[in-house]
Amino acid sequence: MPTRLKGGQISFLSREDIEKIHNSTLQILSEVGMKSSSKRIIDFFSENGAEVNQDTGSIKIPESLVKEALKKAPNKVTIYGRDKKKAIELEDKLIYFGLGGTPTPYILDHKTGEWRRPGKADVVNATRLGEALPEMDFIMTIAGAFDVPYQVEYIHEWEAILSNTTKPVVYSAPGVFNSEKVVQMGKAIKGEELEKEPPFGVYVELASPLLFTVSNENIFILAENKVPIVIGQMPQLGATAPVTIAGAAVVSNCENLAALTLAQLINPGSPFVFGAYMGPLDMRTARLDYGAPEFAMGNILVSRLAEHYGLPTFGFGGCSDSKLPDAQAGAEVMMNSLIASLSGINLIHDCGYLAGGSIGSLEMAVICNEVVSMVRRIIKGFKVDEETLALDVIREVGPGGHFLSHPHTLKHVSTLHLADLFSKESEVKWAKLGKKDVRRKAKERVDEILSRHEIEDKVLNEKLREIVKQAEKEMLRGD
Amino acid sequence: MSELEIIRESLLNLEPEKLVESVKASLAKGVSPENIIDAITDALRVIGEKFERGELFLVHLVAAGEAAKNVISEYIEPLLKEKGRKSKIGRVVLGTVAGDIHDIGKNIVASMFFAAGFDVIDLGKDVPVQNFIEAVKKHKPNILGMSALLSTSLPAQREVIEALKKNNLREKVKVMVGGAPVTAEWAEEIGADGYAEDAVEAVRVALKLLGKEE
Repeated sequence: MPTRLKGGQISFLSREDIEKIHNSTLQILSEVGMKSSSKRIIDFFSENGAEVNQDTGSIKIPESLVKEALKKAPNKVTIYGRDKKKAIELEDKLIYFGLGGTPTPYILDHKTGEWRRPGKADVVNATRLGEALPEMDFIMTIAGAFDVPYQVEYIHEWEAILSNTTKPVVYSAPGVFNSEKVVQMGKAIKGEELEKEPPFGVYVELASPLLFTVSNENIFILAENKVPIVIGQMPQLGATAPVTIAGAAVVSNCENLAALTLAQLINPGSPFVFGAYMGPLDMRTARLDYGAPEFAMGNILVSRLAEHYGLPTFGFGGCSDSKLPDAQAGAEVMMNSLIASLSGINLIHDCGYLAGGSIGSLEMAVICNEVVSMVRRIIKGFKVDEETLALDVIREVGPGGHFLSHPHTLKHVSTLHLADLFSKESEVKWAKLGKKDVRRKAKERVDEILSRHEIEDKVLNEKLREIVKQAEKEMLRGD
Repeated sequence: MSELEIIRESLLNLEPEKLVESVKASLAKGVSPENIIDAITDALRVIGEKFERGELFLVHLVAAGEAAKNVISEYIEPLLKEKGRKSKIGRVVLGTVAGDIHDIGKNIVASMFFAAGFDVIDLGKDVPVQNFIEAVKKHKPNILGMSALLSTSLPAQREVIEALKKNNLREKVKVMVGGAPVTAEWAEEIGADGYAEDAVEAVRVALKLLGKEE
C-alpha cells in the first residue's frame, strides 16, 4: 500500500498573488484566447458558448465557462493500477512519486555505461524496476520503444508498461487513435469498471503558447471514458512564455484551464489533474533546464493554484540535467524532490530522468528511490508528546548513562531513517566491501532486480498483445 | 521446544523477562550451566551476524548483550564459581584510557566479550597507565583491551603498551585497541596485536588472537 503522506509545508505565494494570477488567466483566456488547428475542438467550443473564429482558429473562452468547469471537476482523483491495493488517492497535498515521464530518446545502458537508443525491451526493464522500487508509487518510463514502427510506438510502450506493473500508471497517448487503444487496454484490465477504477491516467500536453493541437483531440476520448487527464504544461521562460515566472504562470494556467474547460464540457465530472509549470530555458544552451531552481519552484505555484481551484496536482521531482548519475544529479534530484514534496504535489514524476529528460537511467532511478525515502522522512516530521518527550526515560537513565538498551529506544528506534543504498558504514568496512560509489551500488541493484523471476498475468498480456496487433493492422495498412 | 531452545529464542526475540524465566526453569530441570551459556552465546552470535548484515541495529545488539550479561552474572556465574570453574575461552581486561570518560562503546565491547564466554574485568573509564599494568599483573588476562574516543587521549594507548614492555609484560598479553579515532594503521604503529571496528568484530579478533577461531 502506498504511504499516505501529506506535504505542502512551504509556500511563498500569498493569497493575493494567486488571485492575481487567476484573474490574469481569465482575462487572457477571454480576450486573447487559445488557438487550434483542430476543427473538432474549435467546433465543440463554438457549440458550447466560446467565441471562435473559424478562419484563424481562435477560441476565446469566457470566464463563465471556465468557472462552471472548475465547479464540475472533482477534487479527488484516484488512479488504481492493476492491483487496486496500490491505488493512489490524489487529493489534499498527499505526495506520491513516479518513475520517469514520457519516452526518453536515449537510455544510459547500466551494463555498458554508455548511452544508446532504447528499445521496447528497455521499457519493459524500466517498468520492472519501477515495480520493484518501494518508493515509486506510479509508473511512467525512462526509456522508449524506438525499435517498433513509429506509428505504433506509444501502443507498444503502453503494452510494455501495463504488462509489467501492477502499480498505477501515467503515460502519454497523443491523438485519438492512441487514446482509443489505451482505453481498450483499460477495459481489458478493468472491464466495465474502467470508469470507476481507472488503472491509469493519461498525460496530455498542449502546445505553448496557448495552442490546442490535433493530438489534443484525445481529450474527447479520455473525458468520455473518465480516464484521468493529467496535464503537465511547460511553456519555456523567455521563449514560449514571458521570461518572468509570474507571466509564464499565466500562460501555463491558461493552457490548463482551457483543457479543463474542454474536458468538463465533454463530460462533466471527468477526472482532471492540474499541472501549470513553466520550463526554464538555459539561455546559453537553449535547453530546457530540469535541474533549475525555477523549475523546482514551479511545484509551489502549481500546488497553490490547485488549492485555489480544488484540483489534484501533477509535478516534477527526481530529474536532473546531468548526463550521469553523479554529484550534480544527486543535488538536483534532492532539491526538486524535496521542494515538490514540501509543495504537496500529488503526482511527483520524472525519477530517473537525466539530461533534462533526454536520457533515462535505471541506476539514477535507484538513487532517486533512496532520495525519496529521505524526503519522505523529512515530510513525516516528528511528534512532540508525552511518549516522545520521554521524561521518565531520561530520569531513569540519568546523567552519564546510556539509552541504547532501554525499552523506549527499542520501541521507537524504527522511526529513524535507515539508508538502503547510500554508504553509512565505516571507511574501513567500505574499503573492504570494494570501495563502491553509489552509482556502482545502484547498478548492482538494477542487475539484482532485473534478474528476479517475474510472475506474469498471461491472460491479460495476451489481450494487450491482441490490441497491439490490431493497432498495427489499422495503422500500418498500405505501408 | 527444548529448554535450551526456549532460552535461545527468548534472547533472539529480545525478551529479557522470558530469558530469565527460561534460564531459571532450565536450571531447575537440571540443565548444566555450561550448556545454558553455550545456548546464550550461540543466540548472541546470531544477533551479532544480523547486526553485521544490517538486519538488526546497535540498540538490539546492546539490549541482547545486556540481557545475556545480566542473566549470566545473576544465575549462572555463582554456580560456576561454586564449582570453581574458569572460563574455557579466556580472560579479558578492559578500560577506557586516561583522559577519556567515554565508556559506552567500551561497555558494549565488555558485554559482548562477557556473553561470548570470556571472563571480563572492566577497569572503567579514565584509567591511568599504572592501573592497566597492575591489572595485567594481578589478573593475568589473555587480552588487554583499551578504548579511546578522543584523538587527544589516543596517545595513552601507546603509553600503556610502552609501560607493558618496561614491565616485561608485553609478551604475556595480547593487546587490542578500539574507539572512534583508532584505525588499523594506528594499531600497527603503536604495536598493538589487534584492532576492531565494532564490538562484534572485537570478539572475533580476540578469538583469532587466541587461536580459537570458529
